[in-house]
Amino acid sequence: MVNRIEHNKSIIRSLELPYPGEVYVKIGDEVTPETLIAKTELLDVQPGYFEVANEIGLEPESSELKEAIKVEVGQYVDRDHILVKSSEKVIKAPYYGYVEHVSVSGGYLLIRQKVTENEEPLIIDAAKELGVSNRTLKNVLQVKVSDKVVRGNVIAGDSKSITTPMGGTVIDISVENGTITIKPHYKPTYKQAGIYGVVADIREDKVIDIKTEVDIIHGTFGIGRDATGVLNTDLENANDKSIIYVSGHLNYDMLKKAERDNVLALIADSVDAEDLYRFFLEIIAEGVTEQINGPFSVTILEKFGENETLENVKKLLFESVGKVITVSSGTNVQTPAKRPEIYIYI
Amino acid sequence: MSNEKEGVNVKIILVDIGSIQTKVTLVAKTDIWEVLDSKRVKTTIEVDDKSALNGVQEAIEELLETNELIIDEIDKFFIGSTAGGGLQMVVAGVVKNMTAESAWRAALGSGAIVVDMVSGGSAVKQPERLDQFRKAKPDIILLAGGTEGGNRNQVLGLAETINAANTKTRWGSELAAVVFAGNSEVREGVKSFLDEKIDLRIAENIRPELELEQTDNVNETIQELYMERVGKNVSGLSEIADMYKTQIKPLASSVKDLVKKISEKYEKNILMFDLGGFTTDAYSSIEYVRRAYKRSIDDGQESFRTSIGNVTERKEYTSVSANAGLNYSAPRLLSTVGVEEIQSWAKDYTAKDIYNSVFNRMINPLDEELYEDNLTRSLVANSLKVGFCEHQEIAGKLKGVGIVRNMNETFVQEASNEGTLADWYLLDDIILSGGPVKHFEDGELIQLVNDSLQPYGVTSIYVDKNDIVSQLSLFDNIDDTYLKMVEKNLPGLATIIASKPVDSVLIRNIATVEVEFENETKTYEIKKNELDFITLDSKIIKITVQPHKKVDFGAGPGKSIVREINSLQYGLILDGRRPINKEMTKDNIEKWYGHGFENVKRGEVNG
Repeated sequence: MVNRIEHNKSIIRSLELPYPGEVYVKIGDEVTPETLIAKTELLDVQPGYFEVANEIGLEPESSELKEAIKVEVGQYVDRDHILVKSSEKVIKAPYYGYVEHVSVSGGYLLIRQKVTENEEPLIIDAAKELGVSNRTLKNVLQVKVSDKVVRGNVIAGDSKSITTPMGGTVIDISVENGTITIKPHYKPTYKQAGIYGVVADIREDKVIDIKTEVDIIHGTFGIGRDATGVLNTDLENANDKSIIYVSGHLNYDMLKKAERDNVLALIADSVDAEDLYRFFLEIIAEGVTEQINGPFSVTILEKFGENETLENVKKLLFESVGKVITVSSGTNVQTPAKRPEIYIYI
Repeated sequence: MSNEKEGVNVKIILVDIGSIQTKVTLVAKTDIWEVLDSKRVKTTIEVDDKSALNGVQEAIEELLETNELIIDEIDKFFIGSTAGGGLQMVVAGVVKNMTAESAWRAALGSGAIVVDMVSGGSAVKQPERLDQFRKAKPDIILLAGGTEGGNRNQVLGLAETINAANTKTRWGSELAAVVFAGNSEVREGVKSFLDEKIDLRIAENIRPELELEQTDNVNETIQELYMERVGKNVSGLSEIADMYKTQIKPLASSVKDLVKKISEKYEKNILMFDLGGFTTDAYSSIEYVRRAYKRSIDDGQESFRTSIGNVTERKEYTSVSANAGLNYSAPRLLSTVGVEEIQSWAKDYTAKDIYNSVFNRMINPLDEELYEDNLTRSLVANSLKVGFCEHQEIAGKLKGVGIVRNMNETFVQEASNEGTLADWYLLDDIILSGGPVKHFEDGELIQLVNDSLQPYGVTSIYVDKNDIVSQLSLFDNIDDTYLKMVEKNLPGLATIIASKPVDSVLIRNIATVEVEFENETKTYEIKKNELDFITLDSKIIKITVQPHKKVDFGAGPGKSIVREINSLQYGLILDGRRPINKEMTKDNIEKWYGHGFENVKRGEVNG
């Protein structure tokens, strides 16, 4: 693929939250790279798996279980919302969340946790659940205050134990009350515009299209997610807002330096594939690199090995030093094909 | 020109849209089928190419112009594609080494890359299973499970899991299609579990009985879906199908059928490798004999079984190795085998050079300069090794053979879970095909096959020098006269005679090979650690291999084997080197290239 520059191109960049959330912009709004455009409080991790049939003692696929399940797919639930209720037992939601799947045949529910800001902590009656006295609880504790836990971790017990129904940090252990208190981590996913432009479309409370005018430089291979930052050519004076252009050959030491300085992205004329492989490991061999979560993204303009890029490409990059630019480094050598692109805003 | 040729009654154009090149071939039938001309252009599916149609149109126009034809004079177009990584599938079955494995073979036989296998009976927990589906981003999920009248709940559980996973394809928001090829009694159940947004297709059960694996119907269903799923997403494929009034097939399924036809016609067991950019595919058609039993069942329990003799069967296998492609996936090959292994075949390369060249093949596969070197030889050798290992795994003997309790009498396959049918003792011929083949001299190709695959027994090598056989496979009415044309495009190179590794240091002569020419018989020795070349002048010869009493050539230790073989261009290669270690490979590169065939012993044959 020959590298080339496309001037004055109108492009639409689609930005997507992993799950629906709040969108803070409307169609026609002008945005800058820093503009917060959307947020979701649904955690982007595996949803909680609740084996409700087993827990409540009803057969999967039974009409009794079907009747006992009190939630449906797509429903938001609060903490303590009744999920399943039989004549003998009730199962409540341990956290705020979104019902992602209800399986009568499998006898389970999938509930994605939603953590709101300043959400009240969860107080677990550990002594009561274990059937021990409040004072005895301290002898069977498996966690201490400030420990971080994830759903399913054992928090107390010996031969009989209890697990936390929700992830978070242990903020209190009360011997007087026999309780363990866990505060959930507030980890919303924010989406910033990342580019200069105008909001062109919004879909399903999660997809935002932004239209913008740019000069595009096409690269040959890249790794990592999109990054927007200030273009600089001096790796010695880089910081966490820098996108560094290495005019010439990038080497392993430079990759390590960029990692230490938390740079956003590197652009280089060329690199030895062995160095890139050593740094990012074998995952780059797939040739599908958009989802690789490296410390920074990398865009290579020419072939592997020592190569210089075209003079007009160098010129445009040097002229853009100090400007905010965006690199879309992700590459897919399969289909849908994608090669890296550098956007220089007009 | 061809359109003026007397007696021409059919003219067809065969199009193979590969991941790198689009190849078109004009074929006509007079009294016989004949390849008239071929063209190849760059496949136009890269970011800046916009549409695969451009490449196809360019190639066809060039072909028509050169042959002074117009499009109306072409009776039919046949088009196959592997562009864009082809069809990607996840297979799911109730039990990993039974129905899931049958689904795996069925998917491969349809020309798909299997990106993951999910099984209901495994120890994998439900959340992880959901993740498997989601992360794979397949075009199609093939769900199998349950013999007829058998398992219901686990099949429905898997259907339910597929629904919960809400699996998106690599194309974005589109949901993966589902093909159900399991217990027909739960079809309605599966349907009820899947959201109506999921495109569900029903195929016949691929494992109606434990002893039986039937994949033809599911292959057809997958091929129909291929065009709908991949065709509409790889830019230009739908337009190509409309313009040339034909269906686009996944190429691998056509090649599989062709290999079967050649094998049946010549009564041979054939293994064909197609070396590609994304994948290296292997196809085999193998006839084998197994023991059959008559069983009696009393009160639902097997009371006794008696052997009733041997049953001869032929089976076809396809493997599609995404870790063995030679450019787009060359870095995966490097990652799979390691840089030292690559270096052992390309000793003039440093590790740095290997990495750079291999990754450059991925980002710029059309750069011809990259292919004129020892590294290409190394990649081909390793691709063959990886491809063959994966093929052996696919061509496993049918597992899970047990007792059918609702019948009074049945035939069952021998309940052996061991081994593979892709065994050199069973294989007669290897066909080598694919773009890289044209970069090598004949001697290089023979050496590549011999030293990388290290076949044992008696194995003949044929080569698709013009990289045309996969295109020829696309025709939908292949008969014996058509096969003659295919055969003309597959010249034979040599026949290798070798044993499995012989450990004993006391054995010097591994075997005696008696060659019956037209008018005389000559005898040669296969000596341990030695390599010998024998030229042949007769058309067909009979050979008898009499191994040392402790050496096995497939009939048992010391037992002779007799083969009637075609006399190929470079004759017989008697190879007493097994295993061929890396040092031997390095030493022998010089011996084979340039000088190898000057040292060939000339058989003193009259006539």
